[in-house]
Amino acid sequence: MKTEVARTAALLLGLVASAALQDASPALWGAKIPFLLAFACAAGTPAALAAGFFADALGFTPFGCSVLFFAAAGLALRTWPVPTVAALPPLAFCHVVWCYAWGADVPLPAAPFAAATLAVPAGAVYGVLVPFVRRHAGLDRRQSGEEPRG
Amino acid sequence: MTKKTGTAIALGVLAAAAALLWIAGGHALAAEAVYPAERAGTWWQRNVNLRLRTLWRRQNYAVANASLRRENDALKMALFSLTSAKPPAEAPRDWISAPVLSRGGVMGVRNRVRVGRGSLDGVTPGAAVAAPEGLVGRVSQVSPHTAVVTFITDPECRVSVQVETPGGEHGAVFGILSGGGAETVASADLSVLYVVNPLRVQHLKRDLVLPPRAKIVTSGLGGVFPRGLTVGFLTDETREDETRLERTGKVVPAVDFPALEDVFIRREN
Repeated sequence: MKTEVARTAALLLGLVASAALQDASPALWGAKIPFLLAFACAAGTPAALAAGFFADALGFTPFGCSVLFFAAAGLALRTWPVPTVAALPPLAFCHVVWCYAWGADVPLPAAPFAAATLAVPAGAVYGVLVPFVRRHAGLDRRQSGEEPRG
Repeated sequence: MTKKTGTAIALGVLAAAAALLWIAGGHALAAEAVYPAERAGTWWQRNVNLRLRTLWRRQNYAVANASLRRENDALKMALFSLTSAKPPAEAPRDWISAPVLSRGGVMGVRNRVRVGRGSLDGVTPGAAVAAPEGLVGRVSQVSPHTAVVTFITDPECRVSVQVETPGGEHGAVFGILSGGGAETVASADLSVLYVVNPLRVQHLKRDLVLPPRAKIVTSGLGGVFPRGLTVGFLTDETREDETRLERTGKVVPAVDFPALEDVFIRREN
């Protein structure tokens, strides 16, 4: 019970920190460092839904735009596990194009390539940081059979 | 019930909860959740980072200059408020300073910023937003501690404006200003940098050719934006539009939008 509470609190903290970092960071070539998408890829499907909610609320996109994308990304990574650092660049590229199709005012064609480029260090950090925190904070869910994603 | 069914049901419940939360005020909730971190970041930038730069670069007056600049901006807005009021019926409106917390949201949207003043400070949706240089835009979303400002460069923004003519011999020349639209799509090189597209002013008198650098100010019609705020300057002579019944022109904004650090929001007294 305590571990579940600690895990939920850590997820919420990580989610809010990722949202604040992405929101406050400068836009480079029309895109922002995809902290929320990296968090969604590293933390699992329920957290991906919450991250999509924040992305829609803070990204001026209609509700459902990022929620659907993040949920699909989370489910896809759950089905075909791929390291976050490898999955994040193509996902970030597709997410920007997806948001543009939903009506977000992002500059094409630079923004998707910029998002994919910025996703490389973000994916590396989250791919290392999240499993590290899980292991050393005792938040790993190995007993329920769920493999931590790296 | 199998594990997959349970997972699907759980995800469905989560999605429904997210939708309900969105309807109840998702924007405000998310904005309030990130507000403490962003406010702390702004405080760090202005009070610690600037002092560290002062230390390393020996710029002894950087902190004092930044503080004096903000005080100067606030005084300019107060002076504008006093001079634009129509006595005795209308009391001067209050302009409150708001720091810029983030630009473009999490997607890097070009025409919006989030500022650190909200409904608890008297900010209301639709309120005019300005800088000492001129008009910035209007408030589009409000939460208790934050507000989203949409710039006049947004293609959906419309402002009633007036062109200042030399000597005033042509009378009042009114027009409608709108944002620049998605022209950067056609110019791939411009989309690499943050470039503000020229604004468009339309529905001008057909018989009057206005010269470049003519000043465009808010007309005060409609009651949203106060009269006399500088909007920008014409880049070229006005030209006849497609209907040949009116003239149109391109306007460069007076405000440097990428460099905004503080804005002023008009409050109802």
